[in-house]
Order: sequence, then C-alpha cells, then structure tokens
Amino acid sequence: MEEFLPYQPSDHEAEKASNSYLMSLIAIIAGLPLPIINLLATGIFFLGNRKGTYFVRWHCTQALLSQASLLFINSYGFWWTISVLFTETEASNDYIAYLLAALLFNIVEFFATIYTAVQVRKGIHVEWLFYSDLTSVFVRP
Amino acid sequence: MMKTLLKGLAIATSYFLVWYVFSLVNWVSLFQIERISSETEKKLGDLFWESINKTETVIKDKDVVNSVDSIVIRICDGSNIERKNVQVHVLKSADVNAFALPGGHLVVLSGLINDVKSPEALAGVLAHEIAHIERKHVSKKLVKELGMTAMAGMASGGAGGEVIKQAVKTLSSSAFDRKMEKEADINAVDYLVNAEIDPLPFAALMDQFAEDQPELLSDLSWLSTHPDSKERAIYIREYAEKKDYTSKTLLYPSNWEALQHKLGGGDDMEEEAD
Repeated sequence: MEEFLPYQPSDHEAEKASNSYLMSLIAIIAGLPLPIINLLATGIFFLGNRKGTYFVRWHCTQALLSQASLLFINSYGFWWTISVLFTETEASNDYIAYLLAALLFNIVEFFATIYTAVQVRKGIHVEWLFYSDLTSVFVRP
Repeated sequence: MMKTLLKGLAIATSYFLVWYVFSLVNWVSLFQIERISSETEKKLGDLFWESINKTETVIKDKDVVNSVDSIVIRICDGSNIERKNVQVHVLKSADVNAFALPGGHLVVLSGLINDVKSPEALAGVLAHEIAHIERKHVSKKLVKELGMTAMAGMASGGAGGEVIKQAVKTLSSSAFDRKMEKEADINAVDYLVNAEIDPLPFAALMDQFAEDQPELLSDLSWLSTHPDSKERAIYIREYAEKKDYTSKTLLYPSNWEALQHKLGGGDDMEEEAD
C-alpha cells in the first residue's frame, strides 16, 4: 500500500473508488445481453471522476479497462448467438463451448469485481493482473 | 511494457485454452441439439408425401415420369449422388414450382415443366432442389420453422393431417434463406457441369422469371419463393462461365416437345412466349 499511495485513502475516497467497481457490477447484470452497456456505465462513471484523487482515478480506470476483454468476448458471443438464431449458422460444439467459456470468465470477473470493491472500500489497494499495468500507464499521480 | 504485453497475452491465451477444452466435449449430442436423424427425416418425408398424394393429382404417365427421371439420374450420376436418395414426383398443377421434402422427395409441378424453355433449364431447377436435399437444407429449415418438438411429434405419428398439410405448405411455398438459395444455385451449376449439361439455360430461366415477374407473380410460386431472379441469373452465369465444361444432349427435342405436349401446355406456352 505504501508503495502505491503515501497515505491511507480517506473514507470518502475509498467509497468513490469502490463505487466504480460496483458500477461495473450493476452494469454487468443489466448489460449481460448487450455488453456495451457495462462499458458505457463505467465509462460515464469514469468521466465523472476524472478530477478525483489519484486513488479514485486509478481504480475507476482499472474498473473500466478490466471490462475491455469481456466486452470483446461478450460482443462476439452476442453476434454469434444472433447468427445462430436468425441465420442458418448451427449451434455447434464450438459455439456452446464459446458461450460456456464466456460465462466462466464473466463469473470470474463478477467475483473478482466484488472482492475488489469490498477491499477498495476498506481503502486497500487491489491490482489486477495486466489491467493494473495498463492502468498505471494511463493514470499518473 | 513487454511484461505487460505478456500478461495480456496470458489472459487471452487462457480464454482460448478454456474455449478449446470446452469444445472437446460434444455438447451438441449432450444437449440433444442434433439435427433430425435420417430415419426421422425419411418418416417425415413419407408422411408429407402421403398427404400430398391424397390431395393432389400425381402424374404417373410413364413417358413423363421417365423423362424427368432421366434428367435426375443424369445429374445424380454426374456428381456421385446416391440415386436412391432422390425420389421424383410430378404433380399436375398450373403453378410454376418445384420443391424438396424431407427424405429426398423431389416434387415437380407440371406448370414448371410447361413454363421452361428447354430440358437444360428444367435440369437447372431439379439440380437446385437436389442441392437442397444433399445439403440437408430441408430438415434444417423444418427444424427452424416448426421446431424440433413438432418434428419428433409428427414423426412418431402424433400430428394430425392439418399439421402435416401446414408443414408441406411451408416447405413448398416459402424460401430457404438467401445463403442457402445461393449455395443451392452454385451447387446446381456444379451438378450440371459434372453431368455435362449446359448450365446457361438455367441462368436464362432466371432471366425469364425476372421478365415474367410483374404479371405472373401470383402463379410463379418457385419464383416468388426465390427472390431476385435477375441477381441469381447474373451470379449463375458468372459462375458457369468460369467453368470449363462440355455439354451433351439431355433430351431429344422431339421427346421434350412430347413431354410438354403431354402435360398440356407446350403449344399454349409457345404462343404465350411469342
């Protein structure tokens, strides 16, 4: 923690930072069929907190970036489903396997997001593999 | 930066790995999404044909059946299609139509034979329908339109005559989707070329349909279920012209005329075309 922030984030900061994850969670639930909704919701929250403290900005960005891969995975699955339903594309083993893999990754992300939201609410800094590195590229103290 | 990229790559790889592992399971049979089995398809086809046989006039005249059969045999032999898989029936009807039923039943209406200008053009339509049969488009369409449960119900004898009639109507009067139609057209050209039948009259038939369209739309069922005849003529011609083919006589002109005459429209059609 000391390495990341030289001070303990205030309760207000922790709440805001944690909310960015909650925002993405709510959006995951609402936006499962249309994955773009997650991104929009987190994106709006991110824009709203652009002028926040480093801790808040950093976590808003990580919450936003961490959804990028799911956005691709879910969008691809969404359009694949559309083509299975409305064209002669068949529900193949590959298609079902894809949906199950997507579901698994959504679940993992869901719980990881809850965990992170809880930890960040306590003022504990949580870094996600890969996304934290990217976040640090974009967000400077 | 390199480290970050590697981490990203690891995440992406893990997804593809999970997908790959999942795809090793045969979910399709596990969830019973299977296409209807060939046995069910055959049963359904027989049921449908029975229903048509009861209500429509089937032409059993040997000359007519043999002529149409000889075209189908030539197409099948050319492309190593099991002849048993295709059963041709000719129905007396003024509609310009031909359609495939499950189980390989190919139904041709006399109106179509009267309307086309040459046996090669008729061969094109037959080859197109055979392609639908060979590519299992018929059962795919049925499953899509009527649902798996209805299929299974019908095959096990649980459906009334009305349901079957409705299913037959769906098959004979609505199109497969565009992709399937194009696929069947392209396959038809291949079948024709393999059988040494000139594919260009098939393209010309599409032009003919396109010209006839405004005034005859209601009669030309085969046309109305197959949109954009002009476009089809273009791509059939384009594909055919790329092929290196030889063509041999399909039916002697005298036999063809006799066939059209027998079906009652030959002379009239000529007058109409002029």
